[in-house]
Formats: sequence, structure tokens, C-alpha cells
Amino acid sequence: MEAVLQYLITGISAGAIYAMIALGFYVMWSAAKAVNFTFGDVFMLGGVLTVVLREMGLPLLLAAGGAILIAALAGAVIERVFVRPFNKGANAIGWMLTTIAVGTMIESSTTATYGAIGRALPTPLMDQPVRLGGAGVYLQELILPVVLLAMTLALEAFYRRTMLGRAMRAVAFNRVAAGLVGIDADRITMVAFALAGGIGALAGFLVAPIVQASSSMGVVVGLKGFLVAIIAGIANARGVVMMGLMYGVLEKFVEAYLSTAARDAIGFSVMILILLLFPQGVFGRREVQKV
Amino acid sequence: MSRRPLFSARRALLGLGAAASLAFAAPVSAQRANPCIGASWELTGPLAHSGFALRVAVETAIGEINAAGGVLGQPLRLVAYDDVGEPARAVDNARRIGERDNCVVMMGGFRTPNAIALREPLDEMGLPWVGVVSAGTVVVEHPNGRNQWMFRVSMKDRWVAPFLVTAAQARSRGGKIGLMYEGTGWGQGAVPDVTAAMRAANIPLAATETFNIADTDMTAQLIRMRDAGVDTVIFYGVDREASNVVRSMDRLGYRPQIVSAWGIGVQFAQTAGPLAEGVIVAGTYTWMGQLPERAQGVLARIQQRFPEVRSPADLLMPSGTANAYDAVYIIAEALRLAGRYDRTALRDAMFRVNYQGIVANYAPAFERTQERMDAILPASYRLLVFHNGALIPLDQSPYGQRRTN
Amino acid sequence: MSARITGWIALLVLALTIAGFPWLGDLIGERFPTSYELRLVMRAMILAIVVIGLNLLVGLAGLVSLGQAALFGLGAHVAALLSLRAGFSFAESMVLAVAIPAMMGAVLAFPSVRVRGVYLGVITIAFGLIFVNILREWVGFTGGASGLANLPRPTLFGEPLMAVRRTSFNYYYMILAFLLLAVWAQYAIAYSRYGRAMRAAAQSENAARALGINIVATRTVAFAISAGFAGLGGGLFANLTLFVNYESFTFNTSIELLLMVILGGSGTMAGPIIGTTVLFGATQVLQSLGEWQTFGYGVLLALVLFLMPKGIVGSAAALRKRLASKARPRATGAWPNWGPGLEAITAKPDEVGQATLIADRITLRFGGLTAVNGVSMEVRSGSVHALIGPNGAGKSSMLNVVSGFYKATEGKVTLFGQLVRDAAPYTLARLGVARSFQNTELFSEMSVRENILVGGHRHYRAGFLETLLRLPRFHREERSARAEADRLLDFVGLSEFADESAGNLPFGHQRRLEIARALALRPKLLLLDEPAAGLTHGEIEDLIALIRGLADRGMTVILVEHHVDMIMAVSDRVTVLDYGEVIAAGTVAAVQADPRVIEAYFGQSLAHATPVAA
Repeated sequence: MEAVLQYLITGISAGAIYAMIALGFYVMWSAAKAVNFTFGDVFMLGGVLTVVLREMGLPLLLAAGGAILIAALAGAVIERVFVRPFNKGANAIGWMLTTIAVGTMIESSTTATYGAIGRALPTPLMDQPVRLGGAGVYLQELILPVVLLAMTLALEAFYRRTMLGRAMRAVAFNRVAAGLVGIDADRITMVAFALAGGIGALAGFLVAPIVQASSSMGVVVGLKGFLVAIIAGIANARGVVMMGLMYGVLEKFVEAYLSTAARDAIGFSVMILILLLFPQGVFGRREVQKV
Repeated sequence: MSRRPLFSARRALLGLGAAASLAFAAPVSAQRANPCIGASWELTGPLAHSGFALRVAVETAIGEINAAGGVLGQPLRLVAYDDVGEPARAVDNARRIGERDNCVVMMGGFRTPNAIALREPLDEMGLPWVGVVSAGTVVVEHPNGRNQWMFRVSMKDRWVAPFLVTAAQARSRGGKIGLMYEGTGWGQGAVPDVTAAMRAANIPLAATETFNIADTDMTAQLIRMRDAGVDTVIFYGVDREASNVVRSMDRLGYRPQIVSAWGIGVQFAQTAGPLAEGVIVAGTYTWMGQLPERAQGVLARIQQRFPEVRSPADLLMPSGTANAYDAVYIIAEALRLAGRYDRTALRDAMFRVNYQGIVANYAPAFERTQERMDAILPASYRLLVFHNGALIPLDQSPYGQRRTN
Repeated sequence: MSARITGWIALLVLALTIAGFPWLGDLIGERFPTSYELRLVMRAMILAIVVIGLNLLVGLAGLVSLGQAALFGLGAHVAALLSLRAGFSFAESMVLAVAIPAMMGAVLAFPSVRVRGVYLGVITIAFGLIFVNILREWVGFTGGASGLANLPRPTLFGEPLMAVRRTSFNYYYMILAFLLLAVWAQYAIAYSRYGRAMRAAAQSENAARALGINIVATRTVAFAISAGFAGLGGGLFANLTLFVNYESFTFNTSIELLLMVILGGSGTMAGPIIGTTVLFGATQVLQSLGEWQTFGYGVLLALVLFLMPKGIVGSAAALRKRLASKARPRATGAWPNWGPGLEAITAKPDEVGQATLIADRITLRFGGLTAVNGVSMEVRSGSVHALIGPNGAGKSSMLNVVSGFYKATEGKVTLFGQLVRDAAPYTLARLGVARSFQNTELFSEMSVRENILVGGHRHYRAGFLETLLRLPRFHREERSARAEADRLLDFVGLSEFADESAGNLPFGHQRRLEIARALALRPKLLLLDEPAAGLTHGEIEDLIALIRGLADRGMTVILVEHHVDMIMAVSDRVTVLDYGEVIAAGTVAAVQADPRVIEAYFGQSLAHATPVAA
């Protein structure tokens, strides 16, 4: 029982990272019907830049703030330079390739300057694990789902309550119509990518103390976050978050009771199965029919 | 699809190729090789630190040799190519070294699969190869039993395994020893070796667990280990995953003794912090702690040549660095014995080398069986331990005294 | 034409260059190339074979695979395992190295029936990751991460296949031969009904289905062929390196393969070779950048995509086309132009006097909404039957039921005296039902002529192998299809636009083309969904003449239309729908006089009615 609790807790904290990344994909997709395919590298910037800024003498939270700001900026630049010109026409895939190119540049330049090896990012929350009904967990891991929840609610409030958020929803719903009522859809899309960049970097900063900040920390997580967003039906924020958490927990239970070696093979097979059953993603159908 | 016409076209072209070969092929007579040591290393990418650790040693050793007049009156050169850890690139590089640069010998890098991929091209080109890291047993002990060209100045998993088992046995209170390995050629290759060593020691393996590169959470594996009562873990993995393992152990409040193969380097202490304390690693060398006089000189010359090596802590793969240093001297000695820059002569001379290195006394370095195409014998393996953030010889640490046998 | 000849000459030059490359050293008196350079060229050629296959999938069928490396790896591992473990000969293992991935490709095509676009991309990604995971962890079978080493050297007809410059390098020429065959196969597929069907399915799924193309089969074939190429490349790779492990076939490789396709110019014939050469060459050259080489790779990629968004070949071709098209203005011909040879199109009318279509109490519901409610109608052979009613009356829905796009919730459809039950659109098209769409659905990136050739898809009898080998029957059929296409172009007055991209035509011309394309099917029943919408008065006159002319020659036409003048001029009978129900039916005159029609359709008085634009 204690083991089950342990898997559940670590699964949820791992899933929270997938969910945050998937949420970033959701924000980008809603605005542009395209994403930064190598979003994992923006996530990585969150962790690595925090370490770098801290080594330059900034206090932890300030360093994290700086990293998130830079990553948001990077998100906006990626949208303007690498996505927008390559997202014309219904079946455009140019953005996929250009964002792969820019992701390659970000990751390799980080490796060349920062080094290939991970560095620790010590925080007070990693000093001692706490015990929860026999299961051990670091506070740093416990705050992940909490931050995720707050992030999701804040995002929903942002979409519903603020002018900018509403404009973003309008663009997501119908780009042309939004343009007709005076919304600058291009600017909004750029802001959405910046927002996604910030979300990704925040996730990177939060997870770096647990896994070390390295130039390659975003590759696998980024890809899984994308897959999770897609099988959830990328046009549904809550669905994306739920699927992220569920996938994290699923992975832990596969590791625990089936096989650690074949974890990915099993996980991805489940994904394919889900897509065959729900071609638009589990939570995606209703959204699609509305259009 | 188009089987039939495809065949005739194929035959026609084959004929063409054969005819062409007959008509023009004037076999380029086997030229004398150049006085260069080729190398395919991980100079960039996630394993770049390993390439650097080897480069500093090889360049320093070559510098020393050339300062003393070179070999057979000619200075040696290093021609190092990057393989980014990919076997296909390693083969490209081997071809380039053997054919284009026509080097007399080639040195290998970190990864076992890269070395395995080289078997066929090395055989075919007749190019001697000296591995200094990749410890997989099959790198040197080929399944077909016909290794001609691949030497190694490094550890061998088949020998490492009993060494680790003995060390683990000495530290295990309950005699429950488990194995944890990474899902790479090296890690997977170690499984049969460790299993055999455990059987030979007559202790059952209490648990066997694997993990993937870049895995961050090892909770599931460790819970199973804990439930199996494992108190000592034999570990095959590298720094990053090792950090994640001790992190997961800390989370569970489960603290078995770790006795690791040499994938763990100095970096582990930096990322794992206090959790690294007491982790035992097998290796051939460490540049920390009390160094013999000769090694102090080598270290000083490395630092002189590579100012970025500010302290031994910057030599992230200490054993690899030491092995590579010795390997260069063994190659130089073999060349002297061969009397000319000729690959076959060099290969034959390798078996006649006697040399006192910093890792071991090689007497002789190699013998004419596959099993002894490894230069470093288990007697020269050492146990190192992380203590106060440094990797020092076990007998120089407080953990050394606890040893009972 | 000249572009095609230039292409073949370029290919010949390339083949001779590659064939002569090993002998370069004898010419310049240097020790060059060595086996190292030969090996690089061989690897590039193998990649090019794989990329050609992927180009068929991405460039023609419009299906983006991000897991192609897995099929490449499957071929390599099939070849390696068979020769290492089962003692298969080179030829035997190569056959299976092609066949097994091809079958796997066909299985992978299955999700594309349900899943599109980025979702399909995700499935291929997942497939690739699963494949790598299995290779890495199934240590006993695949050798795990260490892979399979020491494969036996392949032999063919007792001759060892070598790749060593000093002794023998016949394997080099074998790979070259396979590359040339792959180029040939790519050409033979692309410029055939199979290639056109793939492109049609990618550009407008609905139009393709309406023209008798089985989308599922087409996509399955595309996937299988593409996977077969990947497997061929894999088998050649395994027999070159004599070592395989999972690392050559990861997600990154899939991305690289896709980049090669896009970089060269997706869907173009020369693109795969150029893309592979540039990218593979760049990887080698960039190595001099040391730790910045990957960065340089990214920069190069971005630069090419910025400067040449359609890829190197695609952008060059577009540029040339733009220069050429400025050269001469083109004249639109008069239509309908009943020239000689058009009889074939109306040669097989349904038996005169018989009912071509009997719709018996058709009901169509979407969830709670009833679009068509118990509609019965009968359309006699050789007549023009108009289906009218206000917007949302269920006219188009009815048309979609008849053409098989919607399945009727209740009721029976009898076509040409045959009860059709749940028949797919492509089956009905093959029976002789052609249609146009309310919003024209052209294959916009195909030429005008190619659009019509797609319409002739179902008249071919030559099978896949015949097409691939270009046997006489293929040429005969292709010639006659082209002749018929030219007649049809002449018929609608678009002869001078034959080589223009359909998407570039002005709107009125697009309508003409859509009708000509439907006629290429040689239908017995033609369904026209608001063909006059957006046409000028003069064009509508021409359209009336065309429809009347077709009916007079025995073709049955069902017309959904708002344009009253046209309906009156052209129709034999009219069925009026409102809220999904028939409110009147009969001759034009009778329906015109029906007060219910006037009430429902025209509101007040027919006299004030104006045509309602769609």
C-alpha cells in the first residue's frame, strides 16, 4: 500500500511536468494552430538559465524570474521569426521544421557554452524528503502539482477575465473573425508564444533541482509533453492537464508492475491505442465539432 | 515489386563493376603508415567530457615523447575525430584514419557499441586499435574468437564483475546483493558477467534492475530492491543517472551501499552533493588524494598544457585519463620494438612490450590470446570512494578501515 | 517536356559521376578516393533511397511520417538477423528486408484512415520510439544496445560484395544500381495514375473519393511503397556496415530524413537526391566546426527554409515557372465545344426511359437534426432533374446521400436499377456517378490536365507492376487518357491552360474544370451542386447549353441550383424541398404554379424573385 502511494505521488509530480509542458503546447496551438516543436528546449532554458544567473550572483528567485523572462522573449521571437512565416496554408508543416532548426540551435549553443554535463540547482526544498504515509517525497516535488493547479486556474482566469486573454480566445476560435473586430491576431499569437515560453521555463526551473539542469534535459520531456497534449486533444486545457498527470502516473505504475525497460514502448502503445479510439484526442472531440 | 528486371540490371552492373576492376585495378601497394595516432572520441555532445579527458592525456604524453626526440626519429601526431558517441560515425572516422590519414594506430573512446562497430573495418584495414575506456568484454573477446587488431588498456567487465562482487560481499551485512545497470551496450553487457561472478562466489543475485539513459526517477526499481532486502547495490551507470539513483534512494529513505563500476566520475560528487558520500567506485586511477611523484609530474604537465584543468576535479574521468596516458607510451614502445611505422609490425610488437606505467606495471602488456589483449589486469584495479566531495583511494579514506577481509 | 529531358540528362550525369568517382585517383594521380570517401558516398546513396521513399509518402500522398527511421531500421534488422541467425543468402534476406517493412508500412497506414495531420504524425513518432525501445531492450534477439555485430559478408552469385577501394568495391555499384532503380520507380509511380491518385487524395480527399479513388487503398499503397524503400535502404545499410544497432534509427534520424525531403523539395523528382546530398554533405563539412557543428547544422537548415521554403528544387521550379508564365497571354476558348471524339464520354448512357435514380423515403439525421425527411424521388434516364429549395432545405444533403458521402439513416437508393446499400463514394463513382461540389474542390497544386487525368483514374486496366515497369499497356492507356483529357479541355475551352496549376485559375475557369473533370469519369449520372454560383450571365448561358447537350446525348443530370432562369431553361423535372421534405414535384411549369412552392421558396411572388447567390 505504501508502495502504491509512493508511485502515485512520484507519478503525479512527474506528470505535473508533462502537464505543464503540454499546457504550453496548448497555449501555442490555440493561438496559431502550430507549435514550437522543440518546446523542450525552452523548458530547458528555464532550468539552465536559472543556474547560470545564480552563478552570476543573483538570488534564486530573481534568477528564476530572469530565466522565465528570457524564455518568454525567446518564445515570442521563435513565433515571429520561425513560426509565422511558415504557417500559411492549411497543411503547412514548415513551422515544424523551422522550429526543429531553432531548437537545434538553442540546444547545441547551450551545450557549447554551458557544457554537456548537468549542474545541480540546490534549493531549500530539496534538503530533506518528507514522509507522507510511508512514502518519501521532496517538497520540491510536492509543489509541482500545486503550481500546476495554480497555473491552470490562472490561465483559465486569464482567458476569461482579461482583455488579452479574451482576445486570445477569439483568435483561437476564429482568426479571421477576430481580425474583423479589430484584434491584431499576429500580435496576440506572439504574446501566446511568449506566455507558453514562460510556462515552459517555469516548469524547467521547478524541475531542475530534482533532475539537474543540463542542455539535454528538455528533449525527452518535451517530446512526451507534445504527445500528451495531442492525445488529450490539444484544444482543451483541462484535458491536457489531466492527461499529463495520468501519463505520469501510468509510467510509474508500468515501471512498478510491468517493466522499467519497456516503459516507453508500453506507454507509447497506449498512446497509439488512445488515438485510434479517439482520433481527435480524448478530450478533443467536442471542441473540434464546434468549429 | 520489381524483382525480375531488377535482377538483370543488377547482374549487368555487377558485370560492369567486375570488368572495371579487372581493367584498371592497379593495387595501391600497402604504403608505410604515417606517424600519427588516430582517435575517434566523443568530442562534442553529451559525452564531450570523456573526449576531453582522453585528449589531455594523449596530447600530454605525445608532447613528452616528442620532447624526448619522438619515436624512430619522427615526432608523433594526434589525429582526433569526433564521433558524438555514434557508432556509424566511429566507423567513418576509423575509415578516415586508416585510409585517408593512413595512421599507424587508432585509439578508441568512451562507448562500447562504437568499439564493437569497429571490428569489421579494423580487421579489413589491418589497423591496430587501442581502447582506453569502453570496458565491454566483447570489445576484445570477440565471439568468433579471432580478435587480431583490438587491444585495450582499460578495465574489462568480465574481470571487473568479480572484483565488484568481492568488494560488495565484503561490505554487505546481510549478503543480499543486487545489480542495477543502464540500458546501454555497456550496462546490458555487464549482466552476464556479474551473474557469472555471483554464481562463482556462490551468492544469489537478490535483485536485477535496469534503467534508461536520462531517466530521472528510479523509485520503482529501488522499491523492488528494498523489498528484496538488498543492502549492497552493484551499479553500472554514469554520473547523471547515478545522481538520480542516490536522489531516489534519499527520497525513499533507503541507503544501501553502492559499489559501482567506473561509469561514475568526479562529476557525480558535484551533482549529488552530500548524497555521494561513501559511494564506492572501481577504477584504475584517481588524480585526487596522495599521488606518487611521477603522477604529480604528469598532472602538472597536463595542467600546464590545458589551463582549463585547474585541479584534479576537472579531470572528470580520472581512470580514462590515466589509461590513455599509459596507452600512448605502450604504443610508442611497440613502435620502437617494431622498428618501423608499419601496422602489422606494430601489432606484433605490442605483444613484446614491457613498460612501467602510472596505472600498472605492464609486464608484458599483452599476450597472444584474446583474453590477454587487455593490458590492465584485475590486480591493478582499485577501489575508490567519494569522501567530502572528492574521489580518493579507498585506503586513504575512513571507509578503508571498515574493510574486514 | 524540356524540363523532363533536362532531368534525365542531369540524372545520367549524376550516375556517371558516381560511377566514375572511385577511379578519380587514377586520373589525378592521388590516393583519392579511399574507402573512407567511398563509404560516405555509399551511405549517402542509401539515405537517398530511403528519402525517395519518404518523398512519395510526404510529397505525393501528403502524409507526414516522423517515424521513417524505424522502417529503415526494420529493414536493416531483418537483413541482419536473417543473415546472422538464419543463414539466409544476401538476395533472400534483401527480399524480406523490403517485404517486411512494406507490410509494416501497410499496417501503419491503418490509423491514417481515422487520424489526420498532426495526430498521424504523433502515431508515427510513437511507432518509432516503440521500435527503438524494443531494439534496445530485447537483448536476446536484437543484441540490445550493443546491436548485432560481425554480420557475414554478403555474396551474390558466389561473388563477395566488397566496399574496399584497394581490392574490390562491387557493392558500391550495386548500391548505385539500386539508387537508379529507386529513382526510376519514383518517376514511374509519380507520373502514373497511382501517383496522381496519391496527390489527389492529399489535396482534396472529397474530390478524390468522388472520382472513384479508394483513399484507404491509395494511402496503404503509399505507406507500403515508402516503407519498402526504407527497408531496401536498411538492408543495404546492414550489409554495408555489417553492424547494426538502434542508434542509427532513432527519432533524430526520422527528423533528418524528413528534412532531406523538405530541403530538396517535397514532391519533386530531383528533390530527394539533392536534399540528401546537401544535408549529408553538410554534416560532414560541418564537423570542422567542432562543438558548434550542430549549431551550424541548425543555422543552415533555417537559412535554407527561409530562402527556399519549397525546398531547393521546388523553389527553383517555382521561379522558372513564374518567369515562363509571364511570357505569353492565354486565350480562353468557347464552351461547350462539341468537338470530335467526345462521344466516348456519353457512350454508355443508362437505358433510355428507365429510372436512373430511385430514392425511396430517404431520411438523414445528424444527432437531433433531421436534414432530409422521407424524401422520395425518381430521375429518369437522359433527363435533367433540378433539386431546389431555400437554403438549408436539404438539397446538398440529398446529393451527398446519392453520391455516397452520407449514409442515409433510413430509406433505399436504387441506382441504374441496382440497390446500393452503404456504398462508398468511390464505389458509386465506379458505377457511373460523378459530381461537382458547391465550393469547388479542385486539386489545386496539380495542373489542369492532371486534374482531368485523375478523373480518368478508373478507366485504367494496367496494374501496379505494369505501371512500374512501363509495359506497353500502360503507355497505351496513358496516351488515350491524355488524348481524352485534351478533348475535354477543348470541350470546356481551357486547352491553353492545360499546364497551369488548377489553383491559379480564375473562378469561372475552376467551375469549368470541375465539370470537365467529372465528365472524365464518363458518368451515367452527373450531380451538379450549384454549378452556376458565382458565374457571369454569359457563363451561365454556356453552362445551360452544356447541361442540355449532355442530357440530349443520354446523360442523366441532377442539378441543385438557386438560379431560377437557369432551372427553367434546362430542367425536365423539378423536385422542391423545404425543411428536408418534398413539397412539390413535377415539370417546371407545374412546380412554378404551385402555391406552396411560391410560399415556401419565393416568399411572396415569383415575379419579384431574384437569383439567390450561394
